[in-house]
Amino acid sequence: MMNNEDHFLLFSTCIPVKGHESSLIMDLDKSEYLEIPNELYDILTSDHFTHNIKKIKSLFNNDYDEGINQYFQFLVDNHYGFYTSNPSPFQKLPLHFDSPHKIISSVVAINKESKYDLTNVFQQLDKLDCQLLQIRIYDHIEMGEVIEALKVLKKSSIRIIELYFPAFLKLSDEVLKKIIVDFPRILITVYGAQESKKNSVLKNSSRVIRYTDQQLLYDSKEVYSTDLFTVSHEMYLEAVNYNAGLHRKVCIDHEGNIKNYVSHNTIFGNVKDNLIAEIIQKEEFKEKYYLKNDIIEKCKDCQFRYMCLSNSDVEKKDENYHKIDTCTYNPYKNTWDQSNTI
Amino acid sequence: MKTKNKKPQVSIPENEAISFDLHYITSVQKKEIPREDFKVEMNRYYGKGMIMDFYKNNSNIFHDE
Repeated sequence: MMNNEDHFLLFSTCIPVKGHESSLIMDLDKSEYLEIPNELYDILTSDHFTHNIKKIKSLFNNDYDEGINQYFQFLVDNHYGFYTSNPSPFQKLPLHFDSPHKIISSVVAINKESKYDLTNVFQQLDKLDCQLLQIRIYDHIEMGEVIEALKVLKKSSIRIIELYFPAFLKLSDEVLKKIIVDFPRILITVYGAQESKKNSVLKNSSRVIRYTDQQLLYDSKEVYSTDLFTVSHEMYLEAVNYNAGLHRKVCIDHEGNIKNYVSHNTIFGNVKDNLIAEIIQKEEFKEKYYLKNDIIEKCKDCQFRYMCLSNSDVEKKDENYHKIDTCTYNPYKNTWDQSNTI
Repeated sequence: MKTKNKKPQVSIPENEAISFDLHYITSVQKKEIPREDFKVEMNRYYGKGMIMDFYKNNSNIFHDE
């Protein structure tokens, strides 16, 4: 029960985040979030280590006493916070983020015109300790060549290899099953299918082949939706310090150009002439790593900024940073709009 | 040759607040945990490096409702 002499603390992994119109508490342990009004955000971010509940109430002129009682008890009941008479042993979450991986994620695009050495690109990415690799296949290409190139990744440290290819390649279930068996870390997505579904190919296995009726285009844009948000310790810490989408990401487009992301216009080199390791050392390449949501217009006013993954290019206009491909959420109205304008 | 008498193993006194039945049930249940099945399941995912999750997605270009 609440005692006004006690202190109320949120658990250190429950992070309040303020938006322009609405706020939320991210629970990094449970991977969920709770939407709260901005007034409660202001109350929760007062100095609870110094002030007990009685003092906190007085800081708000005792206007919110009943609301504070009810909200604090609600947060305690739902395991977001707790009461304590001695807050001194409790600490705030350190916000440092580091990773041993020189490259965390990569997208490699291939079409029938691609003339770069795919095997060599995979070897370079493995050497850079890439963790997420997405391979996008656009045309009628010889899958045998791709599968042959993938063999160099059999003993790599890459965690997940996403293989996207078009339904018109018409690969049989047997071929798909062989890919899945031979490459335990591959996730297959077939785009442009007649219907969206997930097919289990192997018996007694949770691994599935995903079919989607959506198309993959060269300029496909990121989809933003509440069910695509990621609430996790690493995601939060990375997003607080860096651009969570572009940080330590390197992409190779279908011509072999090295970019921050495949749909970006800026080209930093080409795998036919440059080593990926050389390019990612360049300051101009790493510049996008640091353009975090906290300094980007609109995103900085959004309460979802530490859980939203965006690979959009960022441009500087009038000393302010803007995302080129923005989402449809309007933090100034707390609504999801049909248009991209705010 | 005469072997030395070993010291008796330290025995943990049973908590009198817990009935004999509960001690018995606990020890029987422990033996029945299907350890091998568990190991097989774990090997399926970790033995071959198949850790299929990561803290974030690479991109979100498909979104099936």
